[in-house]
Amino acid sequence: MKNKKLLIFSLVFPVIVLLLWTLSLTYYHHSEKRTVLIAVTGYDPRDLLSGHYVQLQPDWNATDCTQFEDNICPKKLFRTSYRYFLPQNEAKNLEVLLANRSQALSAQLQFIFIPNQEPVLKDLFLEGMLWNDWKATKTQPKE
Amino acid sequence: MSVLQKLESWQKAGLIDARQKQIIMDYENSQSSHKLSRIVYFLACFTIGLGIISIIAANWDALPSGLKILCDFILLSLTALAAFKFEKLPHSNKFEGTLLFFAMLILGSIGLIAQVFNLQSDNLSAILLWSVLTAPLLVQTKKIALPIVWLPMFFVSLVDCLADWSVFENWWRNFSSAFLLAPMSFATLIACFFFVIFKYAFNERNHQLVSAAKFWLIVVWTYSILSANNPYLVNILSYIHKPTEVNYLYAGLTSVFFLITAFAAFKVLSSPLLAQNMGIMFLMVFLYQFIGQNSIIRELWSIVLTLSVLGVTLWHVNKSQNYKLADFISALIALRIFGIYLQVIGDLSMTGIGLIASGIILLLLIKLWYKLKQNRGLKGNDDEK
Repeated sequence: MKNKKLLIFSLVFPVIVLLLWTLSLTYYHHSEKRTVLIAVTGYDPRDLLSGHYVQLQPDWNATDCTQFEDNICPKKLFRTSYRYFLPQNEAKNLEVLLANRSQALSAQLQFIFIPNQEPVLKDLFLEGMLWNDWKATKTQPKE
Repeated sequence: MSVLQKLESWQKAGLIDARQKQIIMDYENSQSSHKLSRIVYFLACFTIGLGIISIIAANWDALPSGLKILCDFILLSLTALAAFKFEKLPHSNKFEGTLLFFAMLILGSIGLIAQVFNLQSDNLSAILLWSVLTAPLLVQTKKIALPIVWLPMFFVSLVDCLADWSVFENWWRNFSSAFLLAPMSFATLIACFFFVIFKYAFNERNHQLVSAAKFWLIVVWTYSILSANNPYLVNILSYIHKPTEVNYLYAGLTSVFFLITAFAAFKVLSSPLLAQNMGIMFLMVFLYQFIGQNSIIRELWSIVLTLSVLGVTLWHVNKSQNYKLADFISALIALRIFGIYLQVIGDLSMTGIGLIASGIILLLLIKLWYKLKQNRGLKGNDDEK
């Protein structure tokens, strides 16, 4: 009986923890929290997993610092680079597009921002649009 | 020589008859077919698990994120349910295979959640989370596959995450700056410590976990001994800080810990071979603190360390009548002695001394080897009587 209880615990424990983690992340991402937009540029990760995400570096010169207190960008709260996960094919194409500076594609990352806490990455914006919407405009047949 | 060839030669020598030969062959065939089917079964579970992780890594966009996570949780729950059902079947490979698949699915789920929510991490925190979530499964499994994967993943990810903690980082910086061979000693000490703990806690309940801990202890320890003979391996191990001044308090305290662990292995676990080898290594590491700065003495140190460990192992292996292994270790000893030639090549007089010393040691070794062989013969005759 004791062994059976232990087996149930072993099998249920990971599922429960993952479920609670997912629910807390979902709640955090969908709750009404202040968000900020940070301009980013492409960055070649030279990583084994490259191609499954785009690696982006904040570009503080192109970021609107008026979104923050005293009009100062809190650079120290942000990382030097961020990974944004995308479907494999999209990641490869976007990596090339962002690396090609002649295309001048403007990219911004949206973060959930709470002062003095590490910002949480939420979405990727390309030319002012959510990346999915931007992709849809690019794939629409020309009339 | 294959089993069939051996049986035929035994039959010709009149040791067994045709019926006995057939019984042994039937038994061997059934054993090998079971083994093969088990291996294929676990390989299949492992492949399917890897496939699922690969699909998740590709971030398949045919499904919306929410649906992907829902599908993942349904798959996790069904696998858990299947494992629970299969546990009732005695000696079931299905239970072990499903458990392995479940553990891989947990890793895939962590990856999926990290992708969907774009979680950032600089270290191996995802692997550490997986280790914590799958830790209770270790008590359930009766096979070595999961523990052997779990142990290195847990320790490497734990140390990696601890490295971000300033207290640990400072301690490690002080320790590795003040203690020569710190990474090698630390890794062996931790592996030895956990082997002792696992042996105490799980020997009765789950022997496979103890075997996996022992396997990794031997791997870490072997690497340490090899690294003592190869400056490149030592450099890899001490890449963080090259100590400039030895702190003898650290050296003393660490050596005391080492010796307590070796004593535990000897006294409590009744494993004299392991304990004696650990004892030799730890004492040599302690000695290294005093002599490690001199390159010639350092080379002598590596020779003494390796030959002592191999010598003690040969003695134990020969005592346990594992003669094939004893021959192999003898060959390793000869090889290490030959290595001295390469180490002492400098001026002609040094080379001459090295060659003479190595030759004498090799002659002594051959004499010892013949003596051991004679003893085996005598032992064999006594057994026959």
